[in-house]
Amino acid sequence: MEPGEARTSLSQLRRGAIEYCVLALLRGGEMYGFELVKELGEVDGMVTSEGTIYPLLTRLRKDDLVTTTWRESESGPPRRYYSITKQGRDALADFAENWIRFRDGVDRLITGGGRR
Amino acid sequence: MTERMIERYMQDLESQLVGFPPDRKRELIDEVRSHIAEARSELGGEADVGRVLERVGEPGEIASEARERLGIPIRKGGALEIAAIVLLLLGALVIPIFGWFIGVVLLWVSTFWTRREKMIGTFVLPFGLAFPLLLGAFPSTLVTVVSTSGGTPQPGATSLWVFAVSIAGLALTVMAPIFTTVYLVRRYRERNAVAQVAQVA
Repeated sequence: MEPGEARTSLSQLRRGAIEYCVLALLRGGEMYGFELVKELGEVDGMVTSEGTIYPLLTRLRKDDLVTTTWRESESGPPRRYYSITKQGRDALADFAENWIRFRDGVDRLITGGGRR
Repeated sequence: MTERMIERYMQDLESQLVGFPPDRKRELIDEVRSHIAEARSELGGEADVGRVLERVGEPGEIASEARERLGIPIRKGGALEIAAIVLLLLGALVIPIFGWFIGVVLLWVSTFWTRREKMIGTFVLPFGLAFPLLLGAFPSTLVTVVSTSGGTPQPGATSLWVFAVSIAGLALTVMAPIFTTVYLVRRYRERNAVAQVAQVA
């Protein structure tokens, strides 16, 4: 496989995981868009373009995995804060279970498991 | 200068969101705008707007992410759009006035064009090439009126000058609809190329 192709697989992985990473961050309490992007950005390679988080957040809202509230901010226009819903927590728990199993399996193979 | 960069970016983003339901489009644009403002205020006075916009990402990328996440198809231009362009330019020549109006309706009904393109298509120039034809009567009448109204008929310099100006005006009214047509055709081809790529991806 070409290196270029591997990068695309990485971005596929990222696309699948990033919504749950957002939900996981919201588990700790409500956040607004800019904050979320900053936190996500701490993880290497998670955020390619910051603007793409907004369609994602809209999607999460449409799926009732998050709700939003507008709050005043001292430094300017009101901000939209996102918080996780009950469905969001359930979806996250579900994903976490599958992810851990999957991650451990892939890990085992990649780090030299292969044939026993 | 930096404000202009941001405006250009936002316009670019808006044009990439063609076909979006208006409230979704408005929402996304507002969110990106606040994000940029927030990023700038965080960096303070030294904010390098170019870098901020780079981090926010290519408008095309944001738009395609939005299309994917929200299930909004990218619309290719087709017969509807081509018919609109043709009728805007030539419609009124074939069916006076009404032919052009059909072109306007087709233009506005389509989800392919941006609001700006629709405005330009409608107002530059109404009735397309038929407009200068209506005006074609003007120069000669204008000359006649001017040269006989002042009491004393003044042939020569004055009426000649007025004549020249009205010829120039006439030329402009011929060029304007042609400009609009070229403008719309270019946008059509540009956006269709993008649509082609996006559909394959």
